[in-house]
Amino acid sequence: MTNGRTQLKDTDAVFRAMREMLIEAPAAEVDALAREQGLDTRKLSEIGRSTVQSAIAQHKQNVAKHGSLTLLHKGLSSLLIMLRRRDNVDETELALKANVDEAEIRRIEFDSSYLPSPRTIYNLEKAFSLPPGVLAKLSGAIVHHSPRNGGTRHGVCG
Amino acid sequence: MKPEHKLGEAGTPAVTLSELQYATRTEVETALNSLSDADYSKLMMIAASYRRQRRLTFSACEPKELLNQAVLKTLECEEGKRWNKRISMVRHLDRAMENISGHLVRERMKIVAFPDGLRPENYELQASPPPDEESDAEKVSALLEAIFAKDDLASEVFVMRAEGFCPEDVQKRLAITPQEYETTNRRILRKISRFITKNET
Repeated sequence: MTNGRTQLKDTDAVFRAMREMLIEAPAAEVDALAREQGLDTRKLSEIGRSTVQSAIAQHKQNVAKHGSLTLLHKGLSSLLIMLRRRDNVDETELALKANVDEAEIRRIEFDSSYLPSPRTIYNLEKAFSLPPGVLAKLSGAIVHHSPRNGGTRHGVCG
Repeated sequence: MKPEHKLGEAGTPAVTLSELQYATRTEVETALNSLSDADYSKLMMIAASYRRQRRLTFSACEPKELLNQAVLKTLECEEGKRWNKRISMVRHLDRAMENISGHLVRERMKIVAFPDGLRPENYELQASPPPDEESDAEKVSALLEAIFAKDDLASEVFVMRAEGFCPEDVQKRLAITPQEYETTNRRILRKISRFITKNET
């Protein structure tokens, strides 16, 4: 039909052009046109708004969770260093005593984003003769919610 | 290419111009909260268009899920996904959705392992689909037909605009008045939104 038709090289280009026109369309026009053809724009924009708002809330939750985990991990790494000093053992000796890889001990002490395995936590608690669960809580492997906030307590420590 | 980081006079890192054009997390959130109802409608239509373009089923790519992912990626402010303040938030989210839906398609196209140890050559011989003989030009024509039906003028204006012709050039080449051009544009928008949102709401 037109020369132009053959110049749009593929269907992706057509979709891209459609979106460009939608993006550039004046707000009032989008609303009027949609209403004209029986599209519930209020419903559409409400879905869009709630989707964006829930993504913002989800992101805030992720940030808060990551922040509290980092704080816990810092506590875990400080405690591990203090316990080693108390017992006068270096990383190599602790690795042997707890049957844990030496590199993992170094990582717990220096990398606050590192999440040690439940087995490592369990072995370290035994090596330092700590009550069960002390290090697990600091590693973030056990999450404790106060009864006021839902009253649940889950442990993923195996 | 990584943005340059220059040292200021006192030896402190000076923020370069290229760094300044990227929004902070707070700026992203403010921009998202300032979107209008029309922007939200546009974003939902754009999300629906990707589902249609990528031929994804509703369960594989729900438009609101695609928009949710685009917003999350933007808020994470990761390298390559940061919002450049020089472009509108709607346009940025459009590009983010393009990226995410493309990734979704690539993920779905990954070939699964051969559980019974078949050699790939045998597999190809038995299961490769027949070559798609429909040329791109034919596909484009069929798609334009599906959107514009018999409205030839709308189709021609659309194609010319897609090719980058300015409104004056389109009017001159098609010998139409500015009023005709405006009404045609309105018709184009109507047909586009009808095509994109068919079976979506």
